[in-house]
Amino acid sequence: MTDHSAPPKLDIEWIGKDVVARITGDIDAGRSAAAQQPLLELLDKNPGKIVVNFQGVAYMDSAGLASFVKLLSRARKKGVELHLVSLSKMLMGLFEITRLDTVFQISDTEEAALE
Amino acid sequence: MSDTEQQAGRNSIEALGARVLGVLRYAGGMSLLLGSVAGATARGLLPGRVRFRWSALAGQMVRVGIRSFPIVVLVQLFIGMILTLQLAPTMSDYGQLDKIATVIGIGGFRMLGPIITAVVLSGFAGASIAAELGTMVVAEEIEAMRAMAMNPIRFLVVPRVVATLIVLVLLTVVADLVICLGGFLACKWALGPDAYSGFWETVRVEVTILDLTTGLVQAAVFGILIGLIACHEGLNVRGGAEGVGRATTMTVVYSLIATIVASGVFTVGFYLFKL
Amino acid sequence: MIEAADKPSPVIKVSDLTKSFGDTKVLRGVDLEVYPGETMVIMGGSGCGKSTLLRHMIGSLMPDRGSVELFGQDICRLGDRPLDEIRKRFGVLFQSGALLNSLTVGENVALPLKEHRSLDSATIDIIVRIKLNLVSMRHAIDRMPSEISGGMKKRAGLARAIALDPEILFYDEPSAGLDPVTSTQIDRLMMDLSGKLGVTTLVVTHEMDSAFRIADRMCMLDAGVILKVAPRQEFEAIRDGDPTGDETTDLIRQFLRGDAAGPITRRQIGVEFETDILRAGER
Repeated sequence: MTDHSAPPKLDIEWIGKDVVARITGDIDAGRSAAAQQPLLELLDKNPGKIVVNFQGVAYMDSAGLASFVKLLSRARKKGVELHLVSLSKMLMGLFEITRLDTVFQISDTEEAALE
Repeated sequence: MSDTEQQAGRNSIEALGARVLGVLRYAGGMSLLLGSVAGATARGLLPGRVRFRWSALAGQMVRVGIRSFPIVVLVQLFIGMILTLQLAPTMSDYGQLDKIATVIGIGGFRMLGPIITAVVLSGFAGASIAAELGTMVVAEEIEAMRAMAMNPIRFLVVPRVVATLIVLVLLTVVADLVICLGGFLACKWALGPDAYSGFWETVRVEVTILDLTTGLVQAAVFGILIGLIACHEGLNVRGGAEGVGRATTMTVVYSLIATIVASGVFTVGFYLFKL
Repeated sequence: MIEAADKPSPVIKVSDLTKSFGDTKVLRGVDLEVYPGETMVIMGGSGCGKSTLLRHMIGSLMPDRGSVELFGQDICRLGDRPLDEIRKRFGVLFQSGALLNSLTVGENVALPLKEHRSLDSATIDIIVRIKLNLVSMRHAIDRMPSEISGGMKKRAGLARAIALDPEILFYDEPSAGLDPVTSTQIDRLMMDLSGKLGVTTLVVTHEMDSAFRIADRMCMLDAGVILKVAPRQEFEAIRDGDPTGDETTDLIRQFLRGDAAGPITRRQIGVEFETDILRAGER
């Protein structure tokens, strides 16, 4: 089991007009806000695309999922593209059974998303 | 004594024993429920994570109170009029017709206000609470709440008991005034100026704050009893729709018994302590 | 732990569970283990004790003897508060759905989220919609339970059961009263939840089609006793094979096939009828 006390870590890198955010740690009801706030702030800087990399995320619950739905609605409103990449099998399963895989743009790698 | 007689004697003693045990068990169950309700209410009112569900309380008060209000007013108005007219000939014989306001006022505030309102409320609120909770038991709703880590005492029983308490106290204040109003109207229409002139002044002077508070203390206790009995009966429904029907009936019966017994105890206490 | 090396420790562990209601012994020493991520189906005829067993596993009933361990904790000997903490980690789909009738479908699904998670209302709303969409009930979010059909109540009940992302899901007769299409949809969702999200699943049912579709392992309960616990394939072999002459195996076979004749039928009418009817004649 992963450490359930640490908030997820967010590593942000600008690539031209686009921004890549790499998350490390679990995203659940108690901690989704910690991951969420910096991402919402990114929106204010008007990037072309936001690419969220889930490589370091082993577990996410419905509240985490909901926080990304919230991010997506804000991004759409601002005309910013939101891409999700490097989802683990479990995370992909979560998006698939909730049918949110059809709502989000999901790619395998950062490169594919940035193209 | 023959064997059969002995047998019959033993059976009736056993039956009596079972009765007594049944009453004790019921009282025990009610005490436990009272304990958990008090605990949950206290925890809810103290600052902390478990908050008191004010909205649920408000909803229950509306439900319990609004429907009972007109009936309480109607019944108590008539009680006041009937009592006045029944007393009038005797009072008149003794030339004490001007004292009728005192009798109505004190009898109303101390006894008829709380008791009759409690009777009305056990029929209205008690029965409907028992039916509602009983139906929830039958529909697995209570079990589902427990399985969702939601305590039915906190979510369902506390708001209903507290609402019944508050509503009964408030309705009793209304009832007290309406009984006097009934008395006044009867005097005005049937008995003449001897009885009605100075009626309200007499009530104001003769009825003390103690008469009001002893009545309201009783009303509060009746409210708790009715709420507890209704929730206890409702939550312990067994066996489908039939059980729900039984629970509503028994709620009214037990509420009436509890009300009158409690009133008796109070009256003895008030008498002994000259309250 | 040493034994954990080859076998993970069970998520559900029932030991020597015994329960009587009055003079009726409903469970007579039941032992059962369910492992992480697997789907266990408990089958048995009416009155075999399978519902009672389920009610012990969710903490609704306390046993006369024996224990139920969830996540390694004996829930029969826990206080109210620790038990509630365990309850937040599993979901239950009741036979009728058990929606609270005073709340809308959406409020029912939101209820555990509001009570047990500190989330803002927008997040709760999103989660509610996601869960209702899973059971194809998004259109009914504002309906009252009294306005929807039994099958819809059940689906909404399932949405509520998964609201908190439980680690274990208990299902009481999930396909009873559903039309075949809805029943298959529910089965598919149950399989997805266990397959893709690793939710440990325990199902009580007597619907054999559904049981064979979803089960990893199965358990046959009869008169309060477990007759057999085995992988689904073994039960399939019994169902499709010939009578063996072994009473227990043939009883299971009759149950799985739904045959009119067999050990169950013999037990129901059997010789008792003759003695019974002749005794009536003596009076």
